Amino acid sequence: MIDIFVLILDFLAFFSIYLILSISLNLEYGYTGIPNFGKVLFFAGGAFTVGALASRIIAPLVGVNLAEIDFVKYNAFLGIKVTNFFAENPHIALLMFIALLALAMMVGAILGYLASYPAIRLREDYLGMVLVVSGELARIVGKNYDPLICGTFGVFVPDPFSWAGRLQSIVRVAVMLAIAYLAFLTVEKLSRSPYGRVLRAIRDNEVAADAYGKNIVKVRMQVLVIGSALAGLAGALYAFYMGTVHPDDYSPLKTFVVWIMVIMGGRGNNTGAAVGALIYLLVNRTISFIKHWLYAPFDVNYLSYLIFGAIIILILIYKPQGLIPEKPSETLDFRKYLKKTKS
Amino acid sequence: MVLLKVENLNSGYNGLQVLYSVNIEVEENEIVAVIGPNGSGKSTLLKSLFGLVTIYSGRILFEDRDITRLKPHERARLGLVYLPQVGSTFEKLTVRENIAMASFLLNPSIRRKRIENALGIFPTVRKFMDRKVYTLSGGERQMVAITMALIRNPKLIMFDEPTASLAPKIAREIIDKIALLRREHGLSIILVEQNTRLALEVSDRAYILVTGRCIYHGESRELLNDRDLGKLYLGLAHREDGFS
Amino acid sequence: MDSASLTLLTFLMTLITILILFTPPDLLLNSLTFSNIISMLTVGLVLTYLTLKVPNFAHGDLASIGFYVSYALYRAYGLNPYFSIPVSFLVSGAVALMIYKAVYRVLQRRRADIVNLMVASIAVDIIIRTILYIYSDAMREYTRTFYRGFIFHDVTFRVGCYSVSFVAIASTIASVSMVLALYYLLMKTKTGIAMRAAIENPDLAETLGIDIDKMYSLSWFIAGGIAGAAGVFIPFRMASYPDTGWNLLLRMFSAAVLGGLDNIFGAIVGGYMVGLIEVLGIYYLSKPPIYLSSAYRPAIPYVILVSVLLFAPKGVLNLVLGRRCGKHD
Repeated sequence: MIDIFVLILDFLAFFSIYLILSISLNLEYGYTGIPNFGKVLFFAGGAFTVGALASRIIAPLVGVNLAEIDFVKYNAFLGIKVTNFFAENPHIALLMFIALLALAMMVGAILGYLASYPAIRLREDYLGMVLVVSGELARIVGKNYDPLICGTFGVFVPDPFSWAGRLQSIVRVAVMLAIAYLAFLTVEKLSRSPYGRVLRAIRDNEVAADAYGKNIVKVRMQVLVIGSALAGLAGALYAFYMGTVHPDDYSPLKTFVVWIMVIMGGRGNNTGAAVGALIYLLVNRTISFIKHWLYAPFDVNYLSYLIFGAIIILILIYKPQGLIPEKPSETLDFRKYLKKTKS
Repeated sequence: MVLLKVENLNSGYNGLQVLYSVNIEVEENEIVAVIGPNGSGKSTLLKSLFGLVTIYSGRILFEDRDITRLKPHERARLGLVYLPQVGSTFEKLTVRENIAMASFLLNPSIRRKRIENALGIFPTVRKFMDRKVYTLSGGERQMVAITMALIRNPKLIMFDEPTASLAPKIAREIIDKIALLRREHGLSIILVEQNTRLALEVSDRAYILVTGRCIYHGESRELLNDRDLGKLYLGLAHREDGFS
Repeated sequence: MDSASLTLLTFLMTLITILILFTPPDLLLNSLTFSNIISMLTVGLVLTYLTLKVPNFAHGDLASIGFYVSYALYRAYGLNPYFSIPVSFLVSGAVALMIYKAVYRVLQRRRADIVNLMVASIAVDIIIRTILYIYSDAMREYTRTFYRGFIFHDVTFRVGCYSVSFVAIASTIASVSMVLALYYLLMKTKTGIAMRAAIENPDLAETLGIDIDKMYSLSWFIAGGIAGAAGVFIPFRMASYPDTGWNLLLRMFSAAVLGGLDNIFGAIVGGYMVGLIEVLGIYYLSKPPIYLSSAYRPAIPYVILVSVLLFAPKGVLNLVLGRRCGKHD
């Protein structure tokens, strides 16, 4: 019984993270037509921020002088101390949690701003190339620049919910879901607003949007900044949830996973993004489950990539609009419209 | 003898209809002009004849054979050649290579002869055999394109605005060559042209297309001298058909 | 070409020449292998790009397949990797052909847009890489030998007081042969000219009776084959894993963009430039006072890629030759 409960909580935790990632990509690509093939970079930005800073900023409060210790060797030790500290000081824990989330979003936003420079000027094929290789940057820097997240060892992330005692897991997941829901609502509101119409106009006919005086360059930049901030948020949540940040975890495969979700679910609508995240997680977890019954001379997780790779190709061939196609206009309320025209 | 017969053609681009019940006939050894204002569907007509757009209904008969459902290259093999405004040559290739491509399907035994014949009509092309086509001027490019068409020994050549963006003198030269093709080589030609005067001067008969409908057809000479041509053109006047 | 670019280019060329003169010759010679490999891989990438208008993200994996075939044959039959090059060529070529027919051709016929093609491209890469991961793990189980991080041992010569590996010579021969063979094929044979025609203007080529599908298939097979053959040289210089090919994509993109994505000759030149700049760069940057770790090698092609895209999007080659529209061969 407890096992299933743990599984469900874990599922919900990942769902909240992937939901945020999915709607962020949907905002960038689904609504605005920017193919962000470097999603993992912004995700890592948020995660690395948490990994690098979480233990460090609380260090003085637990009586550890950062200048005296070798962070790489002692980060786990320090991290556990911080976690214990949090158990006694929920206010500080939550404060740090929120502060780091905000910081992660800022880091994501800054990276998004930097990335917007090429994203605006380059043709899609060039942009694709640049973003894919940029996605590798995070991993390389993280792995080789030790002071950041302890290089190849990875860094320990303290648990900001240790004060909740036996309810830790539930509280953690509840908070993550709440944050994800907030993000979803925000992006929904954005997409149903006049701003959302501008995004779609730019996606569907750039020249026309330009002719109507919409500042395409500025809008694209804004979208990338928002989307990357969201990705940073997801990264931070991921770092806190996993309790560790390891550079190899942030490979372009993660970008691909987010694309799987958006393509499966259907671009141009947030519900689709949510459905895509749901389906991906379901299939993925099922495959992991089967691992116990299946003996294979290799890591069964690989099967998950094979299956999704094939699914993506099939969807692109047969149903490129995804499972939940975009409705022609989300921003207009047809019933209201019809009533007006009838009178 | 009727070479090409188009019966009640309705066609367009996927869901967007452009041509409405168009009827056209082209006999052997004649030049037929298709004129009309911009956007009237002249280019679409040629594309329909070649199989590049969606045909909703109607028939196209070439030498009494129904080609409505045939693919473009199958129609090409029957002797129908389409020369679009752009993309009728391989610009990155040399003229020699372009000619080699034009004679791609031919048997070596007739290839030489066909090429020689075509170059005989356009001797200037020999001068730039080893130049890449993008280095040539508009008129020179046009000549290469027509040479390539001639190598395929066509029965009917469809020109889509061959004089567009050409200087008047060069335009005149091209039109003269087109007249020569009909006069001395017995070809049939459909000429879509914006330059109405040139088109009517060189052609035998003409069809006027306005907003996708054929509103008049008749002898080119008559049309040339018709005072109401302008009004006809713009759809402001109507005429009884010159032919029943 | 405007004077600012001209000055910059002259400066860079002089700098590179000076650096070459000061670099130990055996380092240069052995780095030739790297450049040869990149150049061959980039040629294939550009070739398929010309047919698809989208970069094939799985191209690096075709090289990985190449060296895995070679390694497997070596393990099974003790076959010297150099002799398995033709086999790698055929296998990678076949895989590339399969990808084209099963995925890209279908998508092209359905008029998929560029982004969808790119996503499909990434999906193909992930599938192939995953298969290689699975293969290497499975083989390790069954044969009890390692299938990841392997290298091929090479013959070395002493030339004067320098030591040179045979792979430098072999890869150079391979690269030069490839260039000559491609040149002959594309410029002197009817099929080659038809390939160029089909790539430039498929509609016109089709009406002239050229079988577009056959031409594209041939392009893909050749591109894949070259990648596979080039891949065989890789384990002679570095420990090879299933994702080694993928890691080289960065250099390929840099080289392709440097040479201008629209022509094969540019790909060749770009490949050598990127290879040279990377080797020289890391050699000099790892010395005082910078002491840059060699783990940051990828930074060099990355900087090249971004710089070229920002300052000379049509490729440096096109810039030098004053071509504005990039519509050349």
